[in-house]
Amino acid sequence: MSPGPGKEFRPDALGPLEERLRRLSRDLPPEGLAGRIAGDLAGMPAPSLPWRSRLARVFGSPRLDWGYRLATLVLLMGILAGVWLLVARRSGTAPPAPGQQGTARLAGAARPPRGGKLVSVTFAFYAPKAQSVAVVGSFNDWDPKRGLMTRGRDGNWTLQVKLPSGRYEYLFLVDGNRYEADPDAIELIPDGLGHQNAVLRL
Amino acid sequence: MEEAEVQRRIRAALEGDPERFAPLVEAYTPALFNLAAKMTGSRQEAEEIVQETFFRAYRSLGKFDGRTRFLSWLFGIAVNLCRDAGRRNRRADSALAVEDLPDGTASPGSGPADERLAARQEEARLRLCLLRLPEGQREAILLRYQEELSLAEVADALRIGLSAAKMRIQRGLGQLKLCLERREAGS
Repeated sequence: MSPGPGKEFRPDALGPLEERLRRLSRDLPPEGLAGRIAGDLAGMPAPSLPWRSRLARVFGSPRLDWGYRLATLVLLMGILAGVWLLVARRSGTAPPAPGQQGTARLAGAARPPRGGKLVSVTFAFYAPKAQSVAVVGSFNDWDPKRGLMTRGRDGNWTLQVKLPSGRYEYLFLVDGNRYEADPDAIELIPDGLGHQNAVLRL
Repeated sequence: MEEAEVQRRIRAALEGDPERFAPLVEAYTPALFNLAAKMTGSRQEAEEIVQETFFRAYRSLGKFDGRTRFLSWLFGIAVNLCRDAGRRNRRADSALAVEDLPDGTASPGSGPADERLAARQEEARLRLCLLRLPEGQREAILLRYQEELSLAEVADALRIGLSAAKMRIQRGLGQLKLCLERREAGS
């Protein structure tokens, strides 16, 4: 007789061989085996819940105050936000130190966020005696070649770019060897190397 | 023991009351021992397997999710340990020991004592044939017919699908029948 799919065990529906198997005498454990095992278990460290179940228990417990739950969640979110900020800060928004353009540090600079509406921005820097000025920032990987500015008759260097909304840090590179923060910038931020970057928010 | 009671005892053990676990050991030791003894053919090996099954189950009690019967979960652990024992025995190149079995070739007479002898011989043949089954089929057959598990529980304990469990049982029964026929014809 073939076993039915997923069905409970039904002794009345067994064939002769299956019945023989069912009636085969059982091997009984030696006396006291269960007691010995239980005794050994009592000496073992208590079993513990996996961390997921522990968390589920803490947050699912009816004894737990809602304020406590909320405070824990806020704390967790705060920790996550802190970690995120730390990672974002280290991931390359810091500008290159003067004279260090083209080094490996530049390659890791942050890219501007993708997507969204493009905003037209004109960078301007007054340097009538300069031979070249470039704007370098987190939107062009701090690459002077991608930020060459054009000199006007009045000694003002300008470059118009279109950028997605976001927050950018930038500097002006004068004559390929001197970094200057934008004197008209609304916001400046220390670069961690003793200088300041200008901040642009779009 | 009712499954709800089993779950209560497991929760109690997890919440720091290990004493409540002891009756579960008492309740399930016979079934585990029977399975292990028939899987390995050795009472000593079976004893060690039962012990280790409870140690492992206790250590990972928090992982038992209650979707299956606790006994099925224990069977799953015991089956793995039986497989390990089988591998050890094969490595040591020692045949499975079949303990305390009567000689299956002696011819019984017709008295009551002879009937008992005949019954013992029949049982010995069945045990021997069971031990000669491939491991997977032996596990499935023992769980289904000795421990009276549903097919779904057999599948759960062996961590295989329902159709695979069904196939193992069918093939096992076929092989068992052949083996018994050969032995009964030879006796």
